[in-house]
Amino acid sequence: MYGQFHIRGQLHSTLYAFDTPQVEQANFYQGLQFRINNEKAPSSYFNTAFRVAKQGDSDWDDRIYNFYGNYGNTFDRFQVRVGRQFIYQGVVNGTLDGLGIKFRLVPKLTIRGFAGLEAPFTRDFRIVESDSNAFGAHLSYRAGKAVNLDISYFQRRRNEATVWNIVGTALNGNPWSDFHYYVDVRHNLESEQLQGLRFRLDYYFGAFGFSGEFNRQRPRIQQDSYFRIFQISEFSQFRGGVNYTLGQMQFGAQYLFTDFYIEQGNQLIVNAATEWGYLGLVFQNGYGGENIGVFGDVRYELLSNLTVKLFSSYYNYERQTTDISEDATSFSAGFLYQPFQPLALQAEVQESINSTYDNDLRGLFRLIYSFRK
Amino acid sequence: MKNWLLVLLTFALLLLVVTAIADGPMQQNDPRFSHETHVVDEELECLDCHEVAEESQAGKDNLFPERSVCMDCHDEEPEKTRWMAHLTPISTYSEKFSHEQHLGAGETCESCHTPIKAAMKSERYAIPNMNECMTCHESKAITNDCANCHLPGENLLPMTHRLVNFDRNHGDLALNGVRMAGNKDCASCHTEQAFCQDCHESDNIDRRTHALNFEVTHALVAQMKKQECATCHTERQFCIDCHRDNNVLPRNHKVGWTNKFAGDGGRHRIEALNDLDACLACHEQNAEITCGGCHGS
Repeated sequence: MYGQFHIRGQLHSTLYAFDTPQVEQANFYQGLQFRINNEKAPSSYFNTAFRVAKQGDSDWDDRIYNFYGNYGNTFDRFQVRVGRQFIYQGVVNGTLDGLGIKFRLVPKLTIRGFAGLEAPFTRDFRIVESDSNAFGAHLSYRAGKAVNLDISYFQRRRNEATVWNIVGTALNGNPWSDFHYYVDVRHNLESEQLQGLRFRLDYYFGAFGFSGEFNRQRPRIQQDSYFRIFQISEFSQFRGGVNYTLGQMQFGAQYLFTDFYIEQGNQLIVNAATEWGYLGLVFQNGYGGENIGVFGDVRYELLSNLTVKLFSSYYNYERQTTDISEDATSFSAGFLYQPFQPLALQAEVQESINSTYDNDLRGLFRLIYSFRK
Repeated sequence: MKNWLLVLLTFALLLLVVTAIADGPMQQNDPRFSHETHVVDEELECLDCHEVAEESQAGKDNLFPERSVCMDCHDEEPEKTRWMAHLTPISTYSEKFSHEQHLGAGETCESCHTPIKAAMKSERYAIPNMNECMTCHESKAITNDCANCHLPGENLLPMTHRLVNFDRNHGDLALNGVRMAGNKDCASCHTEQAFCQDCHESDNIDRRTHALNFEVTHALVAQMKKQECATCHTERQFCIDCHRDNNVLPRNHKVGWTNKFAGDGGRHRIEALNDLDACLACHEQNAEITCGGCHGS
């Protein structure tokens, strides 16, 4: 009558030590994530992801990222989720201790609803004591490859007042297989102002990929913030990118222009990548500051169960209003070794050299155990 | 505001009507074959027609019956089977998929091809999509590793992931559940329960989310609005705690910061107009004290 129960998850233990001119400290992190379900009801399960940590001499602290029970019928046409859950749907964004419901009315139309208390931003295992709750809804209509429509709404309340009240609409699709468009409009119902607008086109032409984006946005300032008395100005941003694939190599460039209320900023990033690593250069000037940087990352599979990792970066930057030139250099080297299937070991030495916090040497050792029964 | 809502609702309604009428393109060939008639009314078994399915070991196998199989029953009405010449095998399905293995493990045809029994026409092949395969595998503790179904060397990276600014744009796909070819979404490949949170809410000690030295360079990223910090740091208390603990003293707050000439607001006025987020990073908590002295409450 009852099917078998299955559990799948991962256990990871991490020792992280660092040594700076001010502090010598060792931290320990113990994380666990798993999902349990019965084979007779594949869409119903309990899921959790959490970690506890001892950082230096401080007390143990905990973070519960997910802790929920999920009920779903066949192929998830109806789903109820109760507990702490990470929500990322349209304008609904955050971690709630509460209820999430999904209902696929017809194959093309899905409605989701969320309500609950906002989880503490530290994600510790307690219910927020203050009157801080939130609810939202998300409707998605999949008309076909060419047209997908999403409408979403999110409200946050604190101390019996609405502090965030936003509605959003997104439209996207692939009218042709090599072409993708995306439009996203967000309106703040409380301040009666446009909160954000994003318009993007992606086009693939053989080995080339092109992307252009326009973005207009206001800072996310809630209604109970003192900063509401000020003029909340928006910024506009244009982003253009191109990439080219040549065999196993990929080359890319991206230009970003940001128009702030009074000043402007520019940024250019170029990079080259292979399957096992990438090298990038960044140039920036204008309001956001002057910056020239180079960064590289290598993850090379030396053996089928041994991956070597190297990372290095150098930035020379100057904040516009300080006129102080600063350097930041970093380096890390490590490996990921899997002696046998469910077990993996990760070790890494990290070094940061900068004029603000002086030199900083860190060591990471992690043991990852995956299980499935 | 009412105008905005009206436009939105009109637009949404129009879209619903147009797409409901259109109902999407029909499958190539579009044969008007009724499984319902054959399976329900005539009580035929699936294997009566798809006899080779039982021994099929590869997704590229052609499992459509030969025309002669149809002619066994329809020998006096050959016009009913003429369209079969236009059927093409479903060659793009997973090369490694084995019907034999699934049937041998106790699955039935209907385990996967659930809706086909009632299908009045066969414009859709009623083949489960990858999400449905993975849900079933998940429930039976069968591995969902890519290599379990895909061949070595298959390029599984979606085109969207190739773009140079995917690190920023991937959120748009995730936020609105954008589906790609084969009805795939993020969770189709990223099956780990906390895949998003591993980056978005982690301790970042392995530097996957923010590279080394990000503590000192993050202002450049934040100020250029290159990333949406609030996607993960939904509470500004995060900024305040760190700035306070590390005694971050902004070096642009120098003499003349608030007033270069009496009443002009100095550089701080320009900074606030350009990037109010930067002010909030430290001052939101005690704004009434810090700002209220001049600006009032």
